[in-house]
Amino acid sequence: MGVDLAVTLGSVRLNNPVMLASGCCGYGMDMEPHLDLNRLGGVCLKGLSMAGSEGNKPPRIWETQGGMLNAIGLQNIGVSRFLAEKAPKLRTYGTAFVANFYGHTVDQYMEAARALGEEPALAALEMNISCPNIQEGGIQFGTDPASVYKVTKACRGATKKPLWVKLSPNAADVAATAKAAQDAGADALTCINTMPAMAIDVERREFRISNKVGGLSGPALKPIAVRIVYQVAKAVTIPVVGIGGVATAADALEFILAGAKAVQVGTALFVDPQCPYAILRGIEDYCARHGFPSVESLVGQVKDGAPMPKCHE
Amino acid sequence: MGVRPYTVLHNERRGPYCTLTVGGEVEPSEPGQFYMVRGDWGADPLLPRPLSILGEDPAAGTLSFLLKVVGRGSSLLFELEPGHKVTALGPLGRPFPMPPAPGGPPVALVGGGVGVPPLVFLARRLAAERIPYAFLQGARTKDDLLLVEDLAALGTPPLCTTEDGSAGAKGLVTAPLAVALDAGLGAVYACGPEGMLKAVAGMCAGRVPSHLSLEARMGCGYGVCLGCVVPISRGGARVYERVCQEGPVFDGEAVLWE
Repeated sequence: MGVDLAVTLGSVRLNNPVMLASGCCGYGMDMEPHLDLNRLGGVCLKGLSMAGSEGNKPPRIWETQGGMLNAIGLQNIGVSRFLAEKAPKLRTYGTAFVANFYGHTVDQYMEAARALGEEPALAALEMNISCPNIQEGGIQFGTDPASVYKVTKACRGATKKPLWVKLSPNAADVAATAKAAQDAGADALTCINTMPAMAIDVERREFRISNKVGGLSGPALKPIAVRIVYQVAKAVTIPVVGIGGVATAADALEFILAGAKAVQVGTALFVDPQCPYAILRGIEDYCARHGFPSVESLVGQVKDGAPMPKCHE
Repeated sequence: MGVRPYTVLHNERRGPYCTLTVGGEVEPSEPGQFYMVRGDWGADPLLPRPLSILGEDPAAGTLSFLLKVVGRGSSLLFELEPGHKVTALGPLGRPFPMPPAPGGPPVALVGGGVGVPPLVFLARRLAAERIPYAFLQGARTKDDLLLVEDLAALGTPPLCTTEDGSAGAKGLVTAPLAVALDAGLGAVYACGPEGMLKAVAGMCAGRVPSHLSLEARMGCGYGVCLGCVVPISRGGARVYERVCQEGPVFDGEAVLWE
Protein backbone atom coordinates (compact mmCIF):
# COMPACT_ATOMS: atom_id res chain seq x y z
CA MET A 1 0.00 0.00 0.00
CA GLY A 2 1.23 3.50 -0.78
CA VAL A 3 2.37 5.96 1.84
CA ASP A 4 -0.12 8.73 2.65
CA LEU A 5 1.91 11.86 2.00
CA ALA A 6 -0.77 14.42 2.87
CA VAL A 7 -0.32 16.54 5.98
CA THR A 8 -2.80 18.80 7.72
CA LEU A 9 -1.74 22.06 9.34
CA GLY A 10 -4.82 23.29 11.14
CA SER A 11 -7.38 23.88 8.41
CA VAL A 12 -4.77 23.72 5.62
CA ARG A 13 -4.32 20.37 3.92
CA LEU A 14 -1.13 19.90 1.91
CA ASN A 15 -0.89 17.10 -0.66
CA ASN A 16 2.58 16.39 0.65
CA PRO A 17 4.98 17.91 3.17
CA VAL A 18 7.38 19.57 0.70
CA MET A 19 6.95 23.30 0.20
CA LEU A 20 9.02 26.04 -1.42
CA ALA A 21 10.36 28.71 0.92
CA SER A 22 9.51 32.38 0.66
CA GLY A 23 12.12 34.45 -1.15
CA CYS A 24 13.43 31.47 -3.11
CA CYS A 25 10.67 30.96 -5.67
CA GLY A 26 9.45 34.45 -6.63
CA TYR A 27 5.68 34.66 -6.96
CA GLY A 28 5.33 30.97 -7.74
CA MET A 29 5.03 31.13 -11.51
CA ASP A 30 8.68 32.18 -11.71
CA MET A 31 9.53 28.52 -10.98
CA GLU A 32 7.34 27.24 -13.81
CA PRO A 33 10.04 26.68 -16.43
CA HIS A 34 11.89 24.47 -13.97
CA LEU A 35 9.36 22.89 -11.65
CA ASP A 36 5.76 21.64 -11.74
CA LEU A 37 4.18 23.47 -8.80
CA ASN A 38 1.30 21.00 -8.67
CA ARG A 39 3.67 18.28 -7.49
CA LEU A 40 4.51 20.28 -4.36
CA GLY A 41 2.71 20.43 -1.05
CA GLY A 42 2.77 24.20 -1.09
CA VAL A 43 4.54 27.35 -2.19
CA CYS A 44 5.40 30.31 0.07
CA LEU A 45 5.57 33.42 -2.05
CA LYS A 46 8.07 36.29 -1.92
CA GLY A 47 7.52 38.53 1.13
CA LEU A 48 5.04 41.31 0.35
CA SER A 49 4.47 44.70 1.95
CA MET A 50 1.73 47.23 1.32
CA ALA A 51 4.05 49.74 -0.33
CA GLY A 52 6.39 47.26 -2.02
CA SER A 53 10.14 47.77 -1.89
CA GLU A 54 13.01 48.20 -4.30
CA GLY A 55 15.21 46.18 -1.96
CA ASN A 56 18.79 46.79 -0.87
CA LYS A 57 21.68 48.14 -2.88
CA PRO A 58 23.86 45.43 -4.46
CA PRO A 59 25.95 43.42 -3.75
CA ARG A 60 23.21 41.48 -2.02
CA ILE A 61 24.61 37.97 -1.71
CA TRP A 62 27.81 36.25 -0.68
CA GLU A 63 28.62 32.57 -0.55
CA THR A 64 29.99 31.23 2.74
CA GLN A 65 31.14 27.78 3.80
CA GLY A 66 28.21 25.45 3.17
CA GLY A 67 25.80 28.32 2.83
CA MET A 68 25.18 31.86 1.68
CA LEU A 69 24.40 35.29 3.07
CA ASN A 70 21.70 37.39 1.52
CA ALA A 71 20.42 40.86 2.12
CA ILE A 72 17.92 41.24 -0.69
CA GLY A 73 15.93 43.64 1.48
CA LEU A 74 12.53 42.12 0.61
CA GLN A 75 12.34 43.62 -2.87
CA ASN A 76 8.69 43.16 -3.82
CA ILE A 77 5.97 44.61 -6.03
CA GLY A 78 3.60 45.42 -3.16
CA VAL A 79 0.30 43.84 -2.11
CA SER A 80 -1.98 45.60 -4.62
CA ARG A 81 0.13 44.80 -7.66
CA PHE A 82 0.48 41.22 -6.41
CA LEU A 83 -3.29 40.89 -6.08
CA ALA A 84 -3.92 42.44 -9.49
CA GLU A 85 -1.12 40.88 -11.54
CA LYS A 86 -0.01 37.65 -9.90
CA ALA A 87 -2.76 36.21 -7.71
CA PRO A 88 -5.31 35.55 -10.50
CA LYS A 89 -2.80 33.25 -12.20
CA LEU A 90 -2.32 31.27 -8.99
CA ARG A 91 -6.01 30.34 -8.74
CA THR A 92 -5.75 27.53 -11.29
CA TYR A 93 -3.12 25.47 -9.48
CA GLY A 94 -3.62 22.41 -7.30
CA THR A 95 -1.05 23.38 -4.70
CA ALA A 96 -1.36 25.48 -1.53
CA PHE A 97 -0.05 29.03 -1.97
CA VAL A 98 0.98 30.86 1.17
CA ALA A 99 1.54 34.62 0.99
CA ASN A 100 4.45 35.80 3.10
CA PHE A 101 4.00 39.41 4.28
CA TYR A 102 5.66 42.04 6.44
CA GLY A 103 5.38 45.65 7.53
CA HIS A 104 7.41 48.32 9.26
CA THR A 105 4.66 49.01 11.82
CA VAL A 106 1.90 46.91 13.38
CA ASP A 107 -0.66 48.84 11.29
CA GLN A 108 1.19 47.98 8.09
CA TYR A 109 1.22 44.30 9.07
CA MET A 110 -2.53 44.47 9.68
CA GLU A 111 -3.25 46.23 6.40
CA ALA A 112 -1.29 43.61 4.46
CA ALA A 113 -3.01 40.74 6.29
CA ARG A 114 -6.42 42.28 5.63
CA ALA A 115 -5.79 42.82 1.92
CA LEU A 116 -4.18 39.43 1.28
CA GLY A 117 -6.86 37.71 3.39
CA GLU A 118 -9.46 38.42 0.68
CA GLU A 119 -7.56 36.54 -2.04
CA PRO A 120 -9.08 33.11 -2.82
CA ALA A 121 -5.83 31.82 -4.40
CA LEU A 122 -4.14 31.87 -0.99
CA ALA A 123 -4.42 28.93 1.40
CA ALA A 124 -2.74 30.79 4.27
CA LEU A 125 -0.71 33.86 5.19
CA GLU A 126 2.80 33.63 6.59
CA MET A 127 3.73 36.60 8.75
CA ASN A 128 7.41 37.49 8.47
CA ILE A 129 8.60 38.88 11.78
CA SER A 130 12.12 37.67 11.29
CA CYS A 131 13.74 39.30 8.27
CA PRO A 132 17.24 40.40 9.28
CA ASN A 133 17.63 42.74 6.30
CA ILE A 134 15.21 45.61 6.57
CA GLN A 135 15.76 48.75 8.56
CA GLU A 136 12.56 48.75 10.59
CA GLY A 137 10.09 45.97 11.21
CA GLY A 138 10.95 42.40 10.44
CA ILE A 139 13.26 40.95 13.02
CA GLN A 140 12.60 43.61 15.66
CA PHE A 141 9.08 42.22 16.01
CA GLY A 142 10.32 38.65 16.13
CA THR A 143 12.83 38.51 18.95
CA ASP A 144 10.74 39.64 21.91
CA PRO A 145 7.69 37.56 23.01
CA ALA A 146 5.63 40.64 23.91
CA SER A 147 5.97 42.20 20.47
CA VAL A 148 5.43 38.82 18.77
CA TYR A 149 2.16 38.60 20.71
CA LYS A 150 1.14 42.13 19.79
CA VAL A 151 1.72 41.90 16.04
CA THR A 152 0.29 38.37 15.79
CA LYS A 153 -2.84 39.39 17.72
CA ALA A 154 -3.30 42.40 15.46
CA CYS A 155 -3.05 40.34 12.27
CA ARG A 156 -5.22 37.60 13.75
CA GLY A 157 -7.98 40.16 14.05
CA ALA A 158 -7.41 41.40 10.49
CA THR A 159 -7.95 38.16 8.57
CA LYS A 160 -9.86 34.89 8.69
CA LYS A 161 -7.18 33.11 6.65
CA PRO A 162 -4.96 30.64 8.47
CA LEU A 163 -2.12 32.70 9.93
CA TRP A 164 1.38 31.24 10.09
CA VAL A 165 4.16 33.06 11.91
CA LYS A 166 7.74 32.74 10.66
CA LEU A 167 10.06 32.88 13.65
CA SER A 168 13.59 34.19 13.97
CA PRO A 169 16.44 32.01 15.24
CA ASN A 170 17.81 35.16 16.82
CA ALA A 171 15.46 35.27 19.83
CA ALA A 172 17.03 34.53 23.21
CA ASP A 173 14.20 32.07 23.88
CA VAL A 174 12.58 30.88 20.64
CA ALA A 175 10.12 28.68 22.54
CA ALA A 176 8.84 31.79 24.31
CA THR A 177 8.29 33.65 21.02
CA ALA A 178 6.58 30.50 19.68
CA LYS A 179 4.22 30.39 22.65
CA ALA A 180 3.50 34.10 22.32
CA ALA A 181 2.51 33.58 18.67
CA GLN A 182 0.32 30.62 19.60
CA ASP A 183 -1.35 32.53 22.44
CA ALA A 184 -2.11 35.39 20.06
CA GLY A 185 -3.94 33.04 17.69
CA ALA A 186 -1.36 31.79 15.16
CA ASP A 187 -2.42 28.64 13.30
CA ALA A 188 1.09 27.37 12.57
CA LEU A 189 4.72 28.37 13.05
CA THR A 190 7.45 28.39 10.42
CA CYS A 191 10.87 27.74 11.96
CA ILE A 192 13.23 29.35 11.04
CA ASN A 193 14.15 32.42 9.06
CA THR A 194 17.81 33.06 8.18
CA MET A 195 20.34 33.83 10.92
CA PRO A 196 21.83 37.35 10.94
CA ALA A 197 25.45 36.95 9.82
CA MET A 198 28.39 38.83 8.30
CA ALA A 199 31.38 38.36 5.99
CA ILE A 200 34.32 40.67 5.34
CA ASP A 201 36.72 40.90 2.38
CA VAL A 202 40.01 41.19 4.27
CA GLU A 203 42.08 42.39 1.28
CA ARG A 204 39.79 45.34 0.66
CA ARG A 205 38.67 45.66 4.30
CA GLU A 206 35.08 45.87 3.05
CA PHE A 207 31.87 44.06 3.90
CA ARG A 208 30.95 41.42 1.35
CA ILE A 209 27.40 42.70 1.04
CA SER A 210 26.26 46.31 1.03
CA ASN A 211 23.88 45.83 3.97
CA LYS A 212 26.83 44.58 6.11
CA VAL A 213 24.51 42.05 7.79
CA GLY A 214 22.81 39.34 5.77
CA GLY A 215 20.81 36.25 6.54
CA LEU A 216 22.70 32.95 6.60
CA SER A 217 20.92 30.11 4.79
CA GLY A 218 21.79 26.73 3.35
CA PRO A 219 23.26 23.54 4.84
CA ALA A 220 25.30 25.54 7.39
CA LEU A 221 22.06 26.69 9.04
CA LYS A 222 20.40 23.27 9.28
CA PRO A 223 21.52 22.00 12.70
CA ILE A 224 20.35 25.24 14.33
CA ALA A 225 17.02 24.96 12.57
CA VAL A 226 16.50 21.32 13.57
CA ARG A 227 17.19 22.19 17.21
CA ILE A 228 14.72 25.07 17.13
CA VAL A 229 12.00 23.00 15.43
CA TYR A 230 12.42 20.39 18.17
CA GLN A 231 12.20 22.98 20.96
CA VAL A 232 9.24 24.79 19.41
CA ALA A 233 7.31 21.60 18.65
CA LYS A 234 7.69 20.65 22.31
CA ALA A 235 6.53 24.07 23.47
CA VAL A 236 3.37 24.52 21.38
CA THR A 237 0.35 22.49 20.21
CA ILE A 238 -0.05 24.17 16.81
CA PRO A 239 1.76 22.66 13.80
CA VAL A 240 5.37 23.56 13.03
CA VAL A 241 6.83 23.92 9.52
CA GLY A 242 10.58 23.26 9.40
CA ILE A 243 12.96 25.29 7.26
CA GLY A 244 16.70 25.88 7.21
CA GLY A 245 19.12 24.10 4.89
CA VAL A 246 16.79 21.42 3.58
CA ALA A 247 18.43 20.01 0.44
CA THR A 248 17.85 16.26 0.63
CA ALA A 249 15.24 13.81 1.88
CA ALA A 250 17.47 13.05 4.87
CA ASP A 251 17.46 16.76 5.77
CA ALA A 252 13.67 16.91 5.51
CA LEU A 253 13.32 13.76 7.60
CA GLU A 254 15.41 15.29 10.38
CA PHE A 255 12.94 18.16 10.59
CA ILE A 256 9.91 15.85 10.49
CA LEU A 257 11.35 13.57 13.18
CA ALA A 258 12.09 16.67 15.28
CA GLY A 259 8.41 17.63 15.07
CA ALA A 260 7.79 19.48 11.79
CA LYS A 261 4.65 18.55 9.84
CA ALA A 262 6.02 20.02 6.64
CA VAL A 263 9.30 21.45 5.38
CA GLN A 264 10.25 24.36 3.17
CA VAL A 265 13.06 24.17 0.64
CA GLY A 266 14.88 27.42 -0.07
CA THR A 267 18.55 27.87 -0.91
CA ALA A 268 18.77 24.30 -2.31
CA LEU A 269 16.53 25.45 -5.19
CA PHE A 270 19.42 27.64 -6.37
CA VAL A 271 21.57 24.54 -6.71
CA ASP A 272 18.84 22.43 -8.32
CA PRO A 273 15.34 23.82 -8.89
CA GLN A 274 13.97 20.28 -9.12
CA CYS A 275 15.40 19.04 -5.82
CA PRO A 276 11.91 19.00 -4.21
CA TYR A 277 11.05 15.97 -6.37
CA ALA A 278 13.93 13.93 -4.97
CA ILE A 279 13.19 15.11 -1.44
CA LEU A 280 9.57 13.98 -1.71
CA ARG A 281 10.50 10.64 -3.26
CA GLY A 282 13.04 10.04 -0.49
CA ILE A 283 10.49 10.80 2.25
CA GLU A 284 8.06 8.35 0.67
CA ASP A 285 10.73 5.63 0.38
CA TYR A 286 11.76 6.18 3.99
CA CYS A 287 8.19 5.82 5.28
CA ALA A 288 7.73 2.62 3.27
CA ARG A 289 11.08 1.20 4.42
CA HIS A 290 10.43 1.95 8.09
CA GLY A 291 6.77 0.90 8.10
CA PHE A 292 5.20 4.32 8.58
CA PRO A 293 1.83 4.38 6.77
CA SER A 294 1.84 8.17 6.47
CA VAL A 295 4.02 11.21 6.84
CA GLU A 296 1.74 12.34 9.69
CA SER A 297 2.61 9.17 11.62
CA LEU A 298 6.30 10.08 11.39
CA VAL A 299 6.05 13.61 12.80
CA GLY A 300 8.04 14.01 16.03
CA GLN A 301 9.06 10.35 16.08
CA VAL A 302 12.70 10.88 17.06
CA LYS A 303 13.42 8.49 19.98
CA ASP A 304 13.15 11.04 22.71
CA GLY A 305 14.39 9.33 25.91
CA ALA A 306 15.56 11.68 28.62
CA PRO A 307 14.64 15.37 28.40
CA MET A 308 17.18 17.87 27.04
CA PRO A 309 19.47 19.33 29.68
CA LYS A 310 17.74 22.29 31.31
CA CYS A 311 20.30 24.79 30.08
CA HIS A 312 19.37 24.04 26.44
CA GLU A 313 15.62 24.28 26.79
CA MET B 1 14.02 22.68 -17.67
CA GLY B 2 15.94 21.22 -14.79
CA VAL B 3 19.59 20.77 -13.99
CA ARG B 4 21.15 18.34 -16.46
CA PRO B 5 24.14 16.04 -15.99
CA TYR B 6 27.19 16.49 -18.24
CA THR B 7 30.54 14.75 -18.56
CA VAL B 8 33.76 16.68 -18.99
CA LEU B 9 35.22 15.96 -22.45
CA HIS B 10 38.27 18.25 -22.32
CA ASN B 11 39.62 20.95 -20.11
CA GLU B 12 42.39 22.88 -21.84
CA ARG B 13 44.36 25.11 -19.51
CA ARG B 14 46.51 28.09 -20.36
CA GLY B 15 47.84 30.16 -17.46
CA PRO B 16 44.91 30.96 -15.19
CA TYR B 17 42.42 30.29 -18.03
CA CYS B 18 40.73 27.07 -19.07
CA THR B 19 38.38 26.05 -21.84
CA LEU B 20 36.00 23.49 -20.44
CA THR B 21 34.04 21.32 -22.86
CA VAL B 22 31.28 19.06 -21.60
CA GLY B 23 28.99 16.54 -23.27
CA GLY B 24 25.34 15.74 -22.65
CA GLU B 25 21.90 16.90 -23.69
CA VAL B 26 22.27 20.43 -25.10
CA GLU B 27 19.41 22.77 -25.89
CA PRO B 28 20.12 25.32 -28.64
CA SER B 29 21.26 28.64 -27.22
CA GLU B 30 22.03 32.17 -28.39
CA PRO B 31 25.20 34.22 -27.92
CA GLY B 32 25.12 36.07 -24.60
CA GLN B 33 23.26 33.32 -22.76
CA PHE B 34 24.82 31.41 -19.89
CA TYR B 35 24.63 28.26 -17.82
CA MET B 36 24.79 27.76 -14.06
CA VAL B 37 27.55 25.14 -13.74
CA ARG B 38 28.59 23.09 -10.76
CA GLY B 39 30.86 20.10 -10.17
CA ASP B 40 30.04 17.06 -8.13
CA TRP B 41 31.73 18.34 -4.95
CA GLY B 42 29.13 18.21 -2.18
CA ALA B 43 27.79 21.21 -0.29
CA ASP B 44 30.87 23.45 -0.43
CA PRO B 45 31.06 25.61 -2.43
CA LEU B 46 27.30 25.50 -2.51
CA LEU B 47 26.18 27.60 -5.44
CA PRO B 48 26.66 26.87 -9.13
CA ARG B 49 28.76 29.36 -11.13
CA PRO B 50 27.35 31.44 -13.98
CA LEU B 51 29.43 30.80 -17.13
CA SER B 52 28.73 32.40 -20.50
CA ILE B 53 28.56 30.08 -23.42
CA LEU B 54 31.68 30.06 -25.60
CA GLY B 55 30.30 27.54 -28.02
CA GLU B 56 27.67 24.85 -28.40
CA ASP B 57 26.78 22.01 -30.71
CA PRO B 58 23.32 20.73 -29.83
CA ALA B 59 23.53 17.99 -32.49
CA ALA B 60 26.78 16.63 -31.07
CA GLY B 61 25.67 17.38 -27.51
CA THR B 62 28.61 19.57 -26.53
CA LEU B 63 28.96 22.86 -24.72
CA SER B 64 32.06 24.89 -24.00
CA PHE B 65 32.97 27.63 -21.58
CA LEU B 66 36.09 29.65 -20.96
CA LEU B 67 36.83 30.72 -17.43
CA LYS B 68 39.54 32.23 -15.31
CA VAL B 69 40.49 31.12 -11.82
CA VAL B 70 39.30 33.78 -9.38
CA GLY B 71 38.09 31.88 -6.32
CA ARG B 72 37.27 28.47 -4.95
CA GLY B 73 34.45 27.60 -7.35
CA SER B 74 36.42 28.53 -10.45
CA SER B 75 39.53 26.69 -9.12
CA LEU B 76 37.50 23.52 -8.78
CA LEU B 77 36.13 23.93 -12.31
CA PHE B 78 39.70 24.59 -13.55
CA GLU B 79 40.83 21.29 -12.00
CA LEU B 80 38.13 19.17 -13.68
CA GLU B 81 39.48 16.30 -15.79
CA PRO B 82 37.90 14.41 -18.70
CA GLY B 83 35.31 11.99 -17.37
CA HIS B 84 34.39 14.13 -14.35
CA LYS B 85 30.71 14.89 -13.85
CA VAL B 86 29.21 18.36 -13.74
CA THR B 87 25.64 19.60 -13.63
CA ALA B 88 24.38 22.63 -15.50
CA LEU B 89 21.16 24.59 -15.79
CA GLY B 90 20.58 26.49 -18.99
CA PRO B 91 20.66 28.13 -21.41
CA LEU B 92 19.60 31.11 -19.29
CA GLY B 93 19.26 34.86 -19.75
CA ARG B 94 18.49 37.24 -22.59
CA PRO B 95 20.96 36.98 -25.46
CA PHE B 96 22.58 39.71 -27.59
CA PRO B 97 20.06 41.01 -30.12
CA MET B 98 21.32 40.00 -33.57
CA PRO B 99 21.92 42.87 -35.99
CA PRO B 100 19.53 43.10 -38.93
CA ALA B 101 20.38 41.08 -42.05
CA PRO B 102 23.60 41.73 -44.04
CA GLY B 103 23.87 44.96 -45.95
CA GLY B 104 23.89 47.35 -43.00
CA PRO B 105 26.97 48.99 -41.50
CA PRO B 106 29.41 46.70 -39.68
CA VAL B 107 29.13 46.11 -35.94
CA ALA B 108 31.91 46.08 -33.36
CA LEU B 109 32.45 43.44 -30.71
CA VAL B 110 34.46 44.76 -27.77
CA GLY B 111 35.81 42.23 -25.29
CA GLY B 112 38.04 42.48 -22.26
CA GLY B 113 39.38 39.57 -20.23
CA VAL B 114 36.85 36.82 -19.52
CA GLY B 115 34.26 38.98 -21.26
CA VAL B 116 35.62 37.64 -24.56
CA PRO B 117 33.93 34.17 -24.72
CA PRO B 118 30.29 35.22 -25.36
CA LEU B 119 31.54 37.59 -28.06
CA VAL B 120 33.42 34.74 -29.75
CA PHE B 121 30.13 32.83 -29.83
CA LEU B 122 28.50 35.95 -31.34
CA ALA B 123 31.33 36.36 -33.88
CA ARG B 124 30.78 32.77 -35.01
CA ARG B 125 27.07 33.52 -35.63
CA LEU B 126 27.84 36.77 -37.42
CA ALA B 127 30.42 35.06 -39.64
CA ALA B 128 27.89 32.33 -40.49
CA GLU B 129 25.34 34.95 -41.47
CA ARG B 130 27.95 37.02 -43.36
CA ILE B 131 27.34 40.09 -41.22
CA PRO B 132 30.52 42.21 -41.21
CA TYR B 133 32.08 42.91 -37.81
CA ALA B 134 35.24 44.13 -36.16
CA PHE B 135 36.47 42.28 -33.07
CA LEU B 136 38.33 44.52 -30.62
CA GLN B 137 40.01 42.80 -27.73
CA GLY B 138 41.73 44.47 -24.80
CA ALA B 139 43.90 42.72 -22.24
CA ARG B 140 46.47 43.51 -19.60
CA THR B 141 49.27 41.55 -21.28
CA LYS B 142 49.66 39.26 -24.29
CA ASP B 143 49.12 36.26 -21.99
CA ASP B 144 45.63 37.56 -21.24
CA LEU B 145 44.55 37.75 -24.89
CA LEU B 146 42.04 34.97 -25.47
CA LEU B 147 41.01 32.82 -28.44
CA VAL B 148 42.93 34.95 -30.94
CA GLU B 149 43.51 32.00 -33.33
CA ASP B 150 39.86 30.90 -33.11
CA LEU B 151 38.75 34.39 -34.03
CA ALA B 152 41.23 34.63 -36.90
CA ALA B 153 39.94 31.29 -38.21
CA LEU B 154 36.50 32.86 -38.62
CA GLY B 155 37.97 35.22 -41.21
CA THR B 156 38.19 38.39 -39.11
CA PRO B 157 41.35 38.54 -36.98
CA PRO B 158 40.82 40.50 -33.77
CA LEU B 159 42.32 43.93 -33.31
CA CYS B 160 44.15 43.63 -30.00
CA THR B 161 45.36 46.12 -27.43
CA THR B 162 47.37 45.41 -24.29
CA GLU B 163 47.98 47.69 -21.36
CA ASP B 164 51.70 46.88 -21.31
CA GLY B 165 52.15 46.87 -25.08
CA SER B 166 53.29 43.22 -25.12
CA ALA B 167 50.98 42.53 -28.09
CA GLY B 168 48.97 44.74 -30.41
CA ALA B 169 48.72 48.45 -29.76
CA LYS B 170 49.65 49.67 -26.31
CA GLY B 171 46.69 51.11 -24.45
CA LEU B 172 43.03 50.44 -23.93
CA VAL B 173 40.51 48.86 -26.28
CA THR B 174 38.53 52.10 -26.31
CA ALA B 175 41.13 53.65 -28.66
CA PRO B 176 40.37 51.39 -31.66
CA LEU B 177 36.66 51.62 -30.76
CA ALA B 178 36.81 55.42 -31.17
CA VAL B 179 38.30 54.95 -34.65
CA ALA B 180 35.65 52.38 -35.58
CA LEU B 181 32.84 54.61 -34.34
CA ASP B 182 34.11 57.47 -36.49
CA ALA B 183 34.23 55.16 -39.52
CA GLY B 184 30.57 54.20 -38.88
CA LEU B 185 29.08 51.28 -36.96
CA GLY B 186 25.60 49.77 -36.77
CA ALA B 187 25.90 48.65 -33.15
CA VAL B 188 28.44 47.80 -30.47
CA TYR B 189 28.43 44.58 -28.45
CA ALA B 190 30.59 44.50 -25.34
CA CYS B 191 31.49 42.28 -22.44
CA GLY B 192 34.28 42.76 -19.93
CA PRO B 193 35.29 44.68 -16.81
CA GLU B 194 32.87 47.32 -15.53
CA GLY B 195 35.24 50.21 -16.30
CA MET B 196 35.48 49.12 -19.93
CA LEU B 197 31.71 48.68 -20.25
CA LYS B 198 31.04 52.08 -18.76
CA ALA B 199 33.49 53.70 -21.18
CA VAL B 200 31.95 51.84 -24.14
CA ALA B 201 28.44 52.91 -23.11
CA GLY B 202 29.59 56.52 -22.83
CA MET B 203 31.26 56.51 -26.25
CA CYS B 204 28.23 54.97 -27.94
CA ALA B 205 25.55 57.07 -26.22
CA GLY B 206 23.56 59.07 -28.74
CA ARG B 207 25.52 57.59 -31.66
CA VAL B 208 24.88 53.84 -31.94
CA PRO B 209 23.10 51.24 -29.82
CA SER B 210 25.39 49.43 -27.37
CA HIS B 211 24.53 45.99 -26.02
CA LEU B 212 26.46 45.25 -22.85
CA SER B 213 26.68 41.88 -21.15
CA LEU B 214 26.97 42.52 -17.40
CA GLU B 215 28.39 40.31 -14.68
CA ALA B 216 27.05 39.91 -11.15
CA ARG B 217 27.25 37.50 -8.27
CA MET B 218 24.37 35.13 -8.75
CA GLY B 219 22.46 32.87 -6.44
CA CYS B 220 19.96 31.00 -8.60
CA GLY B 221 20.59 32.21 -12.17
CA TYR B 222 16.92 31.86 -13.11
CA GLY B 223 15.23 34.89 -11.62
CA VAL B 224 13.99 33.95 -8.17
CA CYS B 225 16.60 35.00 -5.60
CA LEU B 226 16.97 38.67 -6.67
CA GLY B 227 20.63 38.51 -5.68
CA CYS B 228 22.11 39.73 -8.99
CA VAL B 229 20.23 42.98 -9.57
CA VAL B 230 21.72 46.11 -11.13
CA PRO B 231 20.23 49.62 -11.28
CA ILE B 232 18.65 50.31 -14.65
CA SER B 233 16.76 53.30 -16.03
CA ARG B 234 13.42 52.09 -17.36
CA GLY B 235 10.86 54.57 -18.65
CA GLY B 236 12.58 57.34 -16.71
CA ALA B 237 12.48 55.44 -13.41
CA ARG B 238 15.42 53.86 -11.61
CA VAL B 239 14.67 50.17 -11.05
CA TYR B 240 16.63 47.10 -10.06
CA GLU B 241 16.68 44.48 -12.80
CA ARG B 242 18.05 40.96 -12.63
CA VAL B 243 21.24 40.27 -14.55
CA CYS B 244 20.09 36.64 -14.90
CA GLN B 245 16.64 37.39 -16.28
CA GLU B 246 16.29 40.86 -17.82
CA GLY B 247 20.02 40.56 -18.66
CA PRO B 248 22.80 39.68 -18.81
CA VAL B 249 22.62 41.83 -21.96
CA PHE B 250 21.38 45.36 -21.32
CA ASP B 251 21.06 48.44 -23.50
CA GLY B 252 24.12 50.52 -22.61
CA GLU B 253 22.08 53.73 -22.34
CA ALA B 254 19.79 52.17 -19.72
CA VAL B 255 22.53 51.01 -17.34
CA LEU B 256 23.04 53.31 -14.35
CA TRP B 257 26.65 53.26 -13.23
CA GLU B 258 26.47 53.83 -9.47
